[in-house]
Amino acid sequence: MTDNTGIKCKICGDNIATGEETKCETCNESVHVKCLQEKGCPDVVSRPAPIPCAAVTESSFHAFTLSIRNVFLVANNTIVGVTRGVVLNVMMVLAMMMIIASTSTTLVEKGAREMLMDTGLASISVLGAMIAILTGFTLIPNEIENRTIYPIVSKPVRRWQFVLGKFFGAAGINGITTGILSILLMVVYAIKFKEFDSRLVMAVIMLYFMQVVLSSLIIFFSTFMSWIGTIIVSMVVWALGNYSYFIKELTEGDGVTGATKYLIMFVQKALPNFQSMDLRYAIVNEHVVKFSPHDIGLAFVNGSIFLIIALVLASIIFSYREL
Amino acid sequence: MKSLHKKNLILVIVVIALFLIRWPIDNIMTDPATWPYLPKHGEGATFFKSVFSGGAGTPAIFAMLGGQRYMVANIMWSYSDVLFHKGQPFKMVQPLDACVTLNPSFMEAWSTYGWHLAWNLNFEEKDVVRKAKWMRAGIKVYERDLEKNPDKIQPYFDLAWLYLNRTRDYGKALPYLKAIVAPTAIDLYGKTIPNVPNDPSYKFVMLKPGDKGYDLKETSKSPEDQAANNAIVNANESKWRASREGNRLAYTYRKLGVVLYGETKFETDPAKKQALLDAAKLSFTKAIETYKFAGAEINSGNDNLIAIVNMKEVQKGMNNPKWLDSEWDGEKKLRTTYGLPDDPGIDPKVVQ
Repeated sequence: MTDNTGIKCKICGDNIATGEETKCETCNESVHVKCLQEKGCPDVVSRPAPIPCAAVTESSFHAFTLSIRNVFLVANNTIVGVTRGVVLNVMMVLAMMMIIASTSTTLVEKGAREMLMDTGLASISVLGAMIAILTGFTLIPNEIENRTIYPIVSKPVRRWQFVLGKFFGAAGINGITTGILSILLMVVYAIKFKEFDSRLVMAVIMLYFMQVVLSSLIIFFSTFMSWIGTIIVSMVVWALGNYSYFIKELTEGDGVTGATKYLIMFVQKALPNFQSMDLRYAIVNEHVVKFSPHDIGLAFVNGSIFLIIALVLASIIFSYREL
Repeated sequence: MKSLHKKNLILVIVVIALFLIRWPIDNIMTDPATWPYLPKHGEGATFFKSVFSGGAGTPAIFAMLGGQRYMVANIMWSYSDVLFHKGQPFKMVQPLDACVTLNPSFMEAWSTYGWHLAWNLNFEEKDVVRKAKWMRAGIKVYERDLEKNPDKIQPYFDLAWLYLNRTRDYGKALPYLKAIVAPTAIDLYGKTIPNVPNDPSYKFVMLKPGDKGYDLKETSKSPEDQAANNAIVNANESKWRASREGNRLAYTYRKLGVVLYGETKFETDPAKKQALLDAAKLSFTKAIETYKFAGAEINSGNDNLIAIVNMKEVQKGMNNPKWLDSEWDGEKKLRTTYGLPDDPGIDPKVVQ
């Protein structure tokens, strides 16, 4: 004989004996364990099945456009915020001074031409990367630290949209800086040598792409690292990425065998190959006159893969992050 | 929550797949055979070797600066320029050395560095032993340059010009000049040298019959207009260079003939004397052939061309003892000016 609890099961209507009672998670009413397992909660069962909407496609498209809008709203705010900062302006002035100063060589006239190209492109590369790092590392951590992220994510802005928005903002800043410096370099070159070298255009496009890939990595690091960690790791990755071919060469050295060889090989592959996006050497030292579209395309594919990997991982990590 | 995990798991798998796809693409871009935009100096392997052998110095700088060491090389180049204009030639050595070490493809820096040691510092130095030291240092720099850039014209020319003009060692200059004008790969001191005239920076083209060689007089039409003159020089550079290197090679053969003739004055053995005279004749014949290559045949309509004048002079004089004696006297004076002994001590086998 089992004790009766005096409570009736919501599903079958019979009294519930002691030990047979459970609470339904959906309606919070007392029910038989057996009834809940076999028949389910009446609230759930009686709930009408979702009616397929005729405008599903339209609403998906609407959601997509809304996502794009959100991404670019975040990007726009990022660009406006960074361009108001001091870091960007100081670095820009420094880069401009370097480009103008590189015209001053008088030792050998032919050397001066190469010197201007090399130093000008190096200024865009180095200071562009510094701008990308020093403006990029604050983009996400600052929003969290200043608590300005709460009103953003509480609105219908998904976290991946926020990450993408920050990335496009960084890419926009890179575009502005590289664009201004490239125009300055080409103007200075044209004034000094009375000609236009189309190879410079290809070189700066590739340098810009390098900075965009670097920005994606900075965004990725900043989703889980402290700001100082982001700066240091980004700088190391950028320096080693510029040294990609030489790292690979290390594996061909006489003293490198076994695990060390595979470790170096893995490090080289795990880092982006920025050296392949740097056409300075080919233009200045090897005097490459024309770049093969196949090679340039391959460099873009290689960089794009890295960019996608960094952004996907950044979105995943940021989606789990407690704010 | 479960669906979020599932989505993210799929994304992680996609990321791994992308990483694996990237692997072979990256291999293409890190091999100089498939990616022509890479340096060819084997700096990575050199770095590792140096670290293990205890001499990390320069390779460590390579490692620290990575792809940006070219920029530091440029700064060193500018700094050496500043020192040059400040009148501090001895202080220029270090920045120039750093410049060529950091960027071994910087041809202008190599040229300037060797020239600075063998000409400027050699001239500035008063001590005879140190003078010789700077000269040897200059030769060493050009040899380093040649080792790093065997497929470039400039180091061959620089080394040849140093032997030709500075040490007046025509025999040593000869193979380097031959390497410049050789249409195919050649052997030079036991090493196979690639087809040097294909160096893209040189824009070297072999002149064909009917081509007009470059005439310096064209630039004198408007001497005040520097830009116009530069345009003429640039437009004719390839033709001019073909003529110029040919002329230099011919000049080397001619001078070599004179020096071989001069050597007979110090030789007492009749058989050896005859061998020297035969070698001198062979050298003059080669000079005539090379003058023809340099422009005489191609520009037969223009009698003002130096190549024709020189060729005719050698043709007339090579069998004339008077001309040979006067040429040798001139050479002797130059040897005295450069502090070289009268006896050249040359081997007749140098002309082959």
